Amino acid sequence: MNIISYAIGLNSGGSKEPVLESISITANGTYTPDAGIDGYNSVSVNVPQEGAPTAEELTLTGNCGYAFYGGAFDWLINKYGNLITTNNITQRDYMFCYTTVSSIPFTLNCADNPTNSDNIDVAMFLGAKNLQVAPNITGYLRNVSSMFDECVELHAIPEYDINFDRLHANKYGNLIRIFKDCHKLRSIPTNFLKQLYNLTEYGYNSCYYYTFDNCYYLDEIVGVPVSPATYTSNCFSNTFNNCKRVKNIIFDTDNGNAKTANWKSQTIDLSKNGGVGHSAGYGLNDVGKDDGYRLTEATQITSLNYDTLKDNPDSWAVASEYSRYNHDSAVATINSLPDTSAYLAANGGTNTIKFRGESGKLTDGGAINTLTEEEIAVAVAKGWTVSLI
Amino acid sequence: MKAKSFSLVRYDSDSGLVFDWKEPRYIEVPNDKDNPEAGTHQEQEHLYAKTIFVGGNDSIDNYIEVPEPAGQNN
Repeated sequence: MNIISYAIGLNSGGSKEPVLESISITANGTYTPDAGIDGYNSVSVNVPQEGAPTAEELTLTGNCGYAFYGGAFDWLINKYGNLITTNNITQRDYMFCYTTVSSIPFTLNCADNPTNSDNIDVAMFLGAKNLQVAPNITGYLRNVSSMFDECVELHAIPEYDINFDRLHANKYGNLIRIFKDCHKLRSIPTNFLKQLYNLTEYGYNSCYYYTFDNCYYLDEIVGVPVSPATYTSNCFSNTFNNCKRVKNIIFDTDNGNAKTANWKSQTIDLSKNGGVGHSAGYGLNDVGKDDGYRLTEATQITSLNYDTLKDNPDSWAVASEYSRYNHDSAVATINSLPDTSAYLAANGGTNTIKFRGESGKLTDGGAINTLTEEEIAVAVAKGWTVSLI
Repeated sequence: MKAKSFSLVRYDSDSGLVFDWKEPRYIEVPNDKDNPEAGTHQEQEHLYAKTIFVGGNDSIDNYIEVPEPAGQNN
C-alpha cells in the first residue's frame, strides 16, 4: 500500500483567514496549492491500492454459476465482501456451493431470465457449512431445489422481496432437499415457503423428498405448498424427519379451508422425531458453544421444569412425553391437510398420515393418541387414514 | 370443519406385530441428489403402524399384520 501524507498549509500568524480549497486526489504525487491558495481542506483521496480490485472488478454480473464454488474465492468475500456489488446476475447455480464463509454481506441482484437453462438457480448455497444468515436477494429466482441443502449453521433467512412469478417447476425446480440439514434454522419465512408453490407444479415423483429433513431447530413449518400435480406414488419421503423442535406443521390453505389435491398413496410421516430429540438430544444440545443462536442445556424441558420452560421459545425436549409436537399440533396439521377425497373417489386408493401416539403426553396439549373420533374424522373425510406408532 | 358421515373403525395390531400395506408401496429415490439427469430407482416403503383408524374409501382389507422390525419405531 502506498501511503501519502498531505500537509495542510495554514498561515500561522496574523488574523487573516487562510484561503483553502478542496482537492480530490486519484493518483500518487506531490500537490502544491495554486497561487493565492494557502492550503487544502476537504481532501478526498481515492488512490487505488496496488493489486486491489477496482469497484468495477468487484461488481458481479451475468453468469455467476459456480463463481465461488468450493471456497476458491472465500478470501475475496472475507476481504472485500462489503465492497462487492451485484447487477443482473443471470445464472446462480452452485454460486456459493461449498464455500466456508460465515456471511455473504452483499445483496444478490438476480436478473429475470425466463428462458435460460433449467438449472440456473440449483444448489446456490449447497454445503455452505459455515453460513449463518442467508444473504439478501432481490429480483428473480427460477428453480431453487437444494438451495440451502447442508447449510448446517444457517439460522436465519431474510424476508425476500423477490418476484416469485418466475419460479419454475421441472426436474430441477422442486422442493427436494431445499432446507435439508439446516440444523440451526429457526424459522422459514411463511411467504417464502408459500411462494415455493410454483416449484410443485411439475409432477416430479420426489417433489417433497427430504425437504425439511434434519432441521433440528425449526420452531414450526407454516404454509407447506400443496402441489397441484397428480401424484400416485409417495412424494413425501423423509420430508419432515428429525424436525426435533417443531411444534406445528401446517399445510397451505385457502383462507383456512383445505386445498384440494389429486394425490393418492401419499404418506406424511410425522413420527420420526417430530418435535422431540431422541438419542440424547443429538443435534439440539451444543453445550459450550453458546454464541447467541445455539440452544443450550438451560432450555431443555424435563419433568422438573416443564411449567417454567413450556412457553420458552428456545425450549426443547428429549423425552417424547414432553414433545412440542403434541395432540393440539396434530389437530392443526389434520385441519390443514389437503382434501384428496374427490380424486380418491374417482381413482381409488388412500393417503396416510402417521403420528407417534405417545408424543406430548405430559404437555398441556396432550398425547397424540388422545385424538378424538371427530378429530380423526376430519382427516378421513379428506382421504387420509390416520395411523399411530 | 365439515365431516362426512362414515364409519370409522380403530384397529390395533396384535402384540409384536404392526400393520403394513397389503399392496406394496414404492417411492422414487433420486440416484444422485445433485443430478436429476441420473434418474430414480424404486424403494419399497412400509407403514409399520400399531394403530390405524380406517374409514371413508379405506378398508382393513388393504392392510396386513407383519412382525415389528427391531428398532423401527424408536
